[in-house]
Amino acid sequence: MVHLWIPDYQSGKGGIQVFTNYFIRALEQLLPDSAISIFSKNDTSLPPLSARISPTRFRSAGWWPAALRTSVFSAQIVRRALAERPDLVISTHVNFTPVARWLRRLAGLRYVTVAHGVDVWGVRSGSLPQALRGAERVLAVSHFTRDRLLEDMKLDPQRVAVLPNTFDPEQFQPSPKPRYLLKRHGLRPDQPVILTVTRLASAERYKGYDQILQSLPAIRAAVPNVRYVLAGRGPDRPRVEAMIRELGVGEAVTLAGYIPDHELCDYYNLCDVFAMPSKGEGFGIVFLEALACGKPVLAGNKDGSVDALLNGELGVLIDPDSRAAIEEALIAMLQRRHPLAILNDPARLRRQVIEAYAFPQFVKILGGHLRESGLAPTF
Amino acid sequence: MCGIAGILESSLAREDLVAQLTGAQAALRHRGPDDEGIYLSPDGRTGLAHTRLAILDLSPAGHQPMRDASGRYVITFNGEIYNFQTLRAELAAEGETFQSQSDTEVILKMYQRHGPSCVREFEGMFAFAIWDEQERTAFLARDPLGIKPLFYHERDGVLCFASEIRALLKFRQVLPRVSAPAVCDYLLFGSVQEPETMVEEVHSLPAGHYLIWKDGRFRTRPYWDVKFSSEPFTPPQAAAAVREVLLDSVQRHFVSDVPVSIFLSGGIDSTLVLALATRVRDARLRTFCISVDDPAFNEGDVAARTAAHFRTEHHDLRLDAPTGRHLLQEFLARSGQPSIDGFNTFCVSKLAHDHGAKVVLSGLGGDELFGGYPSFDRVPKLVGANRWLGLGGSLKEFGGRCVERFSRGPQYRRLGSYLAGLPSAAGAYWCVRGIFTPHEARVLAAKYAGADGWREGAIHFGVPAQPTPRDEVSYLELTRYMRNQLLRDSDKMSMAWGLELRVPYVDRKVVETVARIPAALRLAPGKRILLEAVPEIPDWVANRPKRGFLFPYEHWMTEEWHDVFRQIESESPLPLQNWYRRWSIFALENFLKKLGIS
Repeated sequence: MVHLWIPDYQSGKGGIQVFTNYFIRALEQLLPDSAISIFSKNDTSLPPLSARISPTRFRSAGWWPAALRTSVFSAQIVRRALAERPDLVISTHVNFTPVARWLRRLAGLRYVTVAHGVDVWGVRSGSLPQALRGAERVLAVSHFTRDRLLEDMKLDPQRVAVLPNTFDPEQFQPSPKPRYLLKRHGLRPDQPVILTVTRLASAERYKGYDQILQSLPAIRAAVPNVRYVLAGRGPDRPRVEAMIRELGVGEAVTLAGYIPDHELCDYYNLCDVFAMPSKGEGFGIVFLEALACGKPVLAGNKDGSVDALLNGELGVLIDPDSRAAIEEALIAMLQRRHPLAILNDPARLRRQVIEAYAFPQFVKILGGHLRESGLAPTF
Repeated sequence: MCGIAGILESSLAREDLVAQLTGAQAALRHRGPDDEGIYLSPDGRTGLAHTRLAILDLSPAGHQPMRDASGRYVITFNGEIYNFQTLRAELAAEGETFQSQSDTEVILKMYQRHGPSCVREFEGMFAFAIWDEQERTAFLARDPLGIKPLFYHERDGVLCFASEIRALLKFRQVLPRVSAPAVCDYLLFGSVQEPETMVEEVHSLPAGHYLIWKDGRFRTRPYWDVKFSSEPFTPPQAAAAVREVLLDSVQRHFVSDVPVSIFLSGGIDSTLVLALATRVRDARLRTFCISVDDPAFNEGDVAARTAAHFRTEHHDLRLDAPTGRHLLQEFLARSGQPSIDGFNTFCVSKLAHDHGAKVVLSGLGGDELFGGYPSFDRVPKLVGANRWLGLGGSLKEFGGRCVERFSRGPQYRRLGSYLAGLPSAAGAYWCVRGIFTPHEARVLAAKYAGADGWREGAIHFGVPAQPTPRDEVSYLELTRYMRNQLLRDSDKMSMAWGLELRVPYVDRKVVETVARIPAALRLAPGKRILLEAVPEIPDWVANRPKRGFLFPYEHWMTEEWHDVFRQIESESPLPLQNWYRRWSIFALENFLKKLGIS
């Protein structure tokens, strides 16, 4: 039996939720004979689950008032863990690991956790490093995150493994620019489009959309009819709007708002370059999705994006703090004269990203880690 | 409207394939009595069939299956694309030429030029298949809200599809075996939930999905879903937005080369459609209504008064138990998958058909979008109660089981069953809307399907997150009750009379606009938002207490229809107790008997 602790399954739609969904699917494949119980902290409704996971094995503390939620969730996971004594506890967020460490000391339960990125970077003291040291395995989503863990928390390198993110190539297929989106945003079919998909929140400004907005005047000078489509919603929007007015680039920017899942693939296909010169990506699933649609990708060279783009094999990595580098790269990419040849070969981009990161790879890597720690497939 | 069917990449002998395809086509003839056609690929391995009810471009140029000029693409299409003239003009501006005035050709050209995402631009109801003779691929799609049906079956790399299950069963690869999980589902909810169907291995292509078939493999993909977003609106802004989008929708739903009529009840939803229709049409409208002789159920008088107010040519069918019984046999002969509904649509469609109508608008969907059902209050309350009772630990489960076991009323047994389990919204929805408890459904499914068909997720299925619990109910009503019961029955029962039913509320643009309005305004009691949006609705409708469009079944079943239902009651392994439980078994037995399903 496995207990899986997750922040949420569907109440938010960020990288960690997407990762959690794949993680659950992979566990189902790897552990066909084990019961899997899911404990969610924030979900307010029962998510669509696969046939293998009984709804009675899904518990959530999400309907409790926010002030009580952490306590209720902790009580739930401790109570069930002590009652059922699972063979393994897996936490898809490091913040739950201090509870797991306590359970280990009390009842000898073993646990594994997933470290994404900003959740662990720069943490050097407190209960978290200790809790991670007690884990059977810490699965970092990128080499970058792993290196930071080893450096900041001085973890045992043997116990920190890399489990890169994954994506579904079936859901992300190349297509011509979808006409309904061209119409929705008043774009011409031949008009060059730069796309970023992110939440607009002050905590997410590290994604680099500010930098792209500031680069736009220079990019427009070289590519006059360029349009920057910034997709996503959040409380940072008024500030972004003000910044667009200040820069006088209103005509060249579309704030597309929230993108439902079923339109995401169409948005990738709308663009000519997917750009997110972020400084804080744990990995960046969006890069994989854009690549699967055959799109050239621009990313920062100071975070987990480096993994997603295979150290620059699949896309352009630049210094996210250098506006000049962003301008230069985007202009070259839009004018199709960037020296990286693969950028102009959509079929190859798709093929290579599938080879590196499609779901079967993910299952294989996770299975390997579980086996190495003597955790699968025997429990 | 029409019927479609097809078989892709079969290894059958040419004559055999044609015979099976013709059989499927014959089973769809009632859907399209005006014309029919078959396309057979040059290699004889792929065939498409069509039966046509001519509504747009009545000339032979609208014949289907339709091929493009190059002969590469072939389409068979059921439905109406209300914005086809706009799309046609845009395509013409892009340099496209057209042979017909039909919407079918516009779909074909849109797909040819823009690929799968073209479905996002179609406003209307549709189910179609396009075969690409060159690439040997197929593209099947269904409208965003599931108005038009499309069933398919795949075995050994051969895909066949049809508008109705009865037609699909004409392909020999589809075996008439009943699906136990679907029977169990049906007994729990009163209808079969897509993508399941009553026949094993036959699936319904879900609403808002398309299917791509290539090299003997297929994948389905969602392209649209309902999503409530709760944006800032003042009450006047909300009412104005609702009026604008409904007026636009009613106008679009009048696109037709034959006259369009309206189904009128005594309720707000259909009266609103009529009120807005008089704004967009100058010609005198025709309205149809069913009235019954039981004053507790009769809506005929209110509808007649409304019709007089709007000066329509009004027709009323007075339905009493003997007339109903006479129609019941015909209803059974023409019904598809079982459901506890549909008889009323069948009767009113017959009335419209008898008066020569071909296209009719209905107020279906208003209740789901604007909170017309008791479930909007009851489901959140039940979820809350179940959660708080959860503090009692296993006492809750014990208490719930006792209530389930010892209560007499079916609704209390469902309540007990729900309180004993998870506090999910889906479970509460079943508690309010359901028919049998899981225990009862398993006993009955074992009797009719040979296995109990129980699945853990049957009741506590997942629901995509929505801003408020009441939005969640709206989502459930739109994607469960309306999609699997109301729309299925409406399609089947109107098509039984060669009548095209159009549903202006069940429109992507309407849903997208309305979904942005916060639940507090959108779902205000008494459909206040609709009354504010359309003040033309007369007071006698606005102030009337809400009633469902029901017949006095309870009375009829115990009196005039007693002999028909007596046997069902006596052979049942458990007490049936009320009309909808009796009806559900009656409809199930009829379905199994008629299709000779084992």
